[in-house]
Amino acid sequence: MQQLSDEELISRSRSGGAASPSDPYVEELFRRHQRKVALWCLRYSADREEALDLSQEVLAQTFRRLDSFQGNSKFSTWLYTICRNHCLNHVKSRATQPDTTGEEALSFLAAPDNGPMEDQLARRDQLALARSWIRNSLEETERRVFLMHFMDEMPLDAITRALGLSNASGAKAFIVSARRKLGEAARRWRLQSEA
Amino acid sequence: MRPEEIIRGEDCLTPADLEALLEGRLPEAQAHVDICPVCEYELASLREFLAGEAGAAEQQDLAWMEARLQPAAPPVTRRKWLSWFPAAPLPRFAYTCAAALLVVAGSLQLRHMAGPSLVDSHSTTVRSSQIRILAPAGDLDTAPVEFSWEAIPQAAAYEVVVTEVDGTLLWSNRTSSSKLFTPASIQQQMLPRKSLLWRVRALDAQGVVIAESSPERIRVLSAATR
Repeated sequence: MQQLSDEELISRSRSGGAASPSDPYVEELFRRHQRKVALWCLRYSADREEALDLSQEVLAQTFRRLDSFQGNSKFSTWLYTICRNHCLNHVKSRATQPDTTGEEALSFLAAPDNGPMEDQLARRDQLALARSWIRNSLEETERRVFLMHFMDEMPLDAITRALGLSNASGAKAFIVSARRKLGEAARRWRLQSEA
Repeated sequence: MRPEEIIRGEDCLTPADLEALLEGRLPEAQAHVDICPVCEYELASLREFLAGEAGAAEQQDLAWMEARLQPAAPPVTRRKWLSWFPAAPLPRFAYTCAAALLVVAGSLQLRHMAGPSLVDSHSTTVRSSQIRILAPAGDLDTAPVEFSWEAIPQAAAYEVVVTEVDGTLLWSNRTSSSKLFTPASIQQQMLPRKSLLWRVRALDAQGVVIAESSPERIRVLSAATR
């Protein structure tokens, strides 16, 4: 059984109808991946008890949806999307403060300086500009923190834990420096476009 | 406009594309990753998940979690009632003969059946269920904080399975004790007035099922509080 791919295990578990949790092929499938799920959940949780609960939820949800797996990607990639989305939803639902990250992001991406960028740029150019500012102005960890906060809307304390940041102010320091660097990039762009 | 809509383009890669890039099946996608911070971030996340490499500070907590996650049991040798039937369909006359025999046997049984006996036969009832469930059972005011049952001497571990009435798995876990605490997150999934079934199986040291309880219906009457 250990020689079978994940997708072959799923196929065999379906041969007798709907998969059962005690089906040996299903057990082998989840045995292979439960460590990955546990580790990911640990990084998105405040403590190991919460991470254990989260892992069990992810694994149970994956099992419940196993019949809908169509093989468009490998099982491991499919499991990753379930695990990632579940953990993000969990982190966001636990946040005590109202989320304003979307507005914050718009404040220096859509309107970095003196008026909305959208008024001045076509969507395609706007996208390319935003990408180049982030890629060229920010360091690797800054990029990651920036995207986790503004795209995935994760609270800063959760990002600090997920990335294992050990500096004093955690993710907040990276957001502050990212904001400053993107502001500088916006000012440079405005000067060049007005010249 | 949401932040994601500003920085995620229509040309961004799908999870399947990112997987193909990681495995070398779609090298041309690297050019996009080089200019797109979103896909760079998504690729790094997928790579980290697939690698599953824990840092030194994570090892202890991860080991603790793995010990409590349901371990993969060895294949359980269990006789399925479906295996009593032949794989290939029987010819139609076989079903006709079987039906006729059933009618004859039934009529003979009725002819010889006596009235109900008032004497206790003291016969031993053979049950497949050998574990007696203690709690919870029936309607509950709040979601159960633990499941408990009577211990079996030969059992090395017990597996508790909670399902919806259609068999959909809600939660499953193992323990060596005769009770198992319900995680808060699972309590919250026990929705008010929704019937659930739970059962417990006893496993020996090799992970083979040696006893099993009957399914017990429970229903939470009010929402769980955390």
